[in-house]
Amino acid sequence: MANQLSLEVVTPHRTVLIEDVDSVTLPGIEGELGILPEHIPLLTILDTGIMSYTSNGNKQVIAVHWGYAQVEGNSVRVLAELAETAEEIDLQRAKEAEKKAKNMLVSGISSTTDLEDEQSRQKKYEGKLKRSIVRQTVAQFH
Amino acid sequence: MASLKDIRKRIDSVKRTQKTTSAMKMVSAAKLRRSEDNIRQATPYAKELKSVVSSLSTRFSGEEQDTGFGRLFRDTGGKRTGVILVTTDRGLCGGFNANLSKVLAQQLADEDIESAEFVILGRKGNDFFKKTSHKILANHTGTQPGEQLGLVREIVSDFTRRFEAGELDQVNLAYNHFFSVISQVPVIEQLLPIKPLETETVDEREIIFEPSPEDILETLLKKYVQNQVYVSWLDTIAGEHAARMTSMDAATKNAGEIIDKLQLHYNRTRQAAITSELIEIISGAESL
Repeated sequence: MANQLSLEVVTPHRTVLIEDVDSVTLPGIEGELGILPEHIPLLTILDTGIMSYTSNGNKQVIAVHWGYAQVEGNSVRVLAELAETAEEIDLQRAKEAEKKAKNMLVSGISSTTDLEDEQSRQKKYEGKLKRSIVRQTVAQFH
Repeated sequence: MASLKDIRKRIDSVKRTQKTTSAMKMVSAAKLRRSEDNIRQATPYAKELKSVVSSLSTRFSGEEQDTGFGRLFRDTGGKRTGVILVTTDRGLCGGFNANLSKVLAQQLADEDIESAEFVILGRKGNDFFKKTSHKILANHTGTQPGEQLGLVREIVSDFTRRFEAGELDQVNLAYNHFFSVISQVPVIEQLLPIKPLETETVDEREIIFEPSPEDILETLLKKYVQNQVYVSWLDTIAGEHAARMTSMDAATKNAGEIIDKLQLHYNRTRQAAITSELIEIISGAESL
């Protein structure tokens, strides 16, 4: 299997996927990364985003939320904080989460006057917003 | 001497207790299987994370004391201590929580640490340490499985931030390591400063890093510490059920022994009563 990649996706909760695939696209923190067999060794941190892979001409997507990927020889190992396949995502819930996060960001009544607290609060909801959008994109792929 | 009725009452009461303990044993056995499964699921992640962190850290000489990740290794030798103590919410599991708390208290006393700052998971640890001179920052009880990872992240990032800012000199993690169903051992680990990981070979291959290796290492080290706490929690949960299963099994056996003894006692007493009644009747008939 020299022209295939062995892809492995693990989270603290479980092993999500072990499969031989033709190519992988990763949401790297500095931009999207396409990985094909015989890639040079690589270690990168992943952002919240959509990871996709093709096996036998079928494209599959997984939502990953923070993690890192290690490419070594023909193996790709993704360690994500959270990884969900399209079937696992509750679209309704993601939509609601998006609405809620947007509300908090737009109308956000700030509970604190401390600038640092406010910034971390904003960051939290921005993260939530991003996660919900990624989830929806992945869910629609299904 | 107890009357026949009293003995019968006691037998019934012990039987009821036995029913409870054997039911608890069965429940724990089922829960144990599930929590062992959780540990198994979490192992690949923990392993991979550790191997990446250790191979990555060989790329540095260990002299970057003031850079981002170097601070996580900095040993100041001071006594301001933070402790993350992982215990359970419920009792009836033998010396599971008490042993851990005692070992921890002893170690802190040995190191002359009088007021460590505690974050305690589970009610039992709180019960023990609230009577001591240590300061309890927070006690988390009744945490649902889905909330664990988020909670751990919060606790650890708080401690890490304070450690980096120089407010704490060390952070320890205390939990029961789950070796097997019959063996859980109290473990106290130093979380921060991070102990240098034992490494096999220096990794000098050409690798692309995105972002820089320093940034990756810093992020991964923090993840690594978080994961240690998370895994220790899973260990504790499995250990709790194992300990409860063992102690409830022992309790069921003991109850059985007591029932046997009481039953024998009951039969003897009953026989004695019949005999004495017979003697009374016979001697009454003879005197006529």
